[in-house]
Amino acid sequence: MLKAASFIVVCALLFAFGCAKPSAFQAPVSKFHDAATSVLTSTKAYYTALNKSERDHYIDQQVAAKRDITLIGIDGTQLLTSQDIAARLKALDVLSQYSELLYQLANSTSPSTIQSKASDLQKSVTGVSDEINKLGGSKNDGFKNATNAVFPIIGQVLQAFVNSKIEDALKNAINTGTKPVNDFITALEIDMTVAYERKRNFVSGQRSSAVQQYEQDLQSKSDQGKLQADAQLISTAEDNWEAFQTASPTVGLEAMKQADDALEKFVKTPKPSITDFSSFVSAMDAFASIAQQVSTAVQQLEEIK
Amino acid sequence: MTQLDAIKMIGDVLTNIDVVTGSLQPNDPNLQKLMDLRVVLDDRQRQLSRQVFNDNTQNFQTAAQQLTTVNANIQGSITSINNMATVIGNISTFLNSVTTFMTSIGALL
Repeated sequence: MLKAASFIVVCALLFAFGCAKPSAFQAPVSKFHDAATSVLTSTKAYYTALNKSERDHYIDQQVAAKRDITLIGIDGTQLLTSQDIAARLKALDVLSQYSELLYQLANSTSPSTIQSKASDLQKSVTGVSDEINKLGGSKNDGFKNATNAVFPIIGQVLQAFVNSKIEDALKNAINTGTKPVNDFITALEIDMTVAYERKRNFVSGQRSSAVQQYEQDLQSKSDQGKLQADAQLISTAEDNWEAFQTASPTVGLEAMKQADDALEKFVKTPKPSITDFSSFVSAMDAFASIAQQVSTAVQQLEEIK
Repeated sequence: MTQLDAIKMIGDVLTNIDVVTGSLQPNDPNLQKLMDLRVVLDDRQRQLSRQVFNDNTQNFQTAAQQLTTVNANIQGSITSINNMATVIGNISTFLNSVTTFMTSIGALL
């Protein structure tokens, strides 16, 4: 998610090399942007599916045990409230828009357009910050702390854009470093670890259910068509399980933190050598590869579902 | 061990249970016992996932260490479908340990 603030560093990198947008940087910068977008999208997919997975699991369990299904029971399964999830999705949206803004800046969109978008986004940052600070419960403490650390930095950069003091903003961002950014990613990782583990539980359960259904129908001498349908469900459950092994959003987020660090290290190197540049490019390649892997797996899970 | 580690550890046992239940015949009397244990263990994981605990306290770490020890003891025999009494006994022991752990840290009301 902090592709956004990380992008400050990317832009700073471009500015550090004379605002010339040297072609050598275009590929790694573009890779970082695309990889971060993939990770962000995967993270949002997990947040969006979090409560639905719990609800569906509860309903399946009640049906299997021939027990009542109640709305209180459904509400009781939710890991985060709808407000908690909405606030997180809005924070991700803000950062996505911010990243896009910086990417446009790095790719020569006119400053007047940037100013206008920055002004609009600044208002969004304020609104989302207020909303996040109103969230209650200890479950939100880590997320609130991390957001309160990184959103002001974004606000400052946006204000500088609005005031046409872009280089000053970028220098400040570089001096701040990637720690608030990576702390924010860590807060997301905690949510995502829980989401992934609960989903793993459900996907694993579906494997067993599919096999049990086939065995039951086999013993009751069901017709070939029913057995074929059961076998297809087993095959789908196994595909799902296999895809799930590489669908951990925390792997993508962790790769983003490493890419952030590589970006910061490179931009703070006074006179980067060819080796420094090569390491920077390799780090972006590694991030892009992991992001692609996670994105593909998450997409496959969505399609299978 | 952290709270997230505990959630993962429970998840590992749940997936092992699924491997076993997916390998038993529908009329096997052990199947329902395992399914019942799974429901409770799943509920424990859900409750642990809904709350945030300070895992740096001595109380948490002491309770977590006991759970880690039990988990280590049952590894290797948890999916031995040729010895279902041991499998069910080990999973029951793990579940009891999870319950003790969660009670110690205040996760079970």
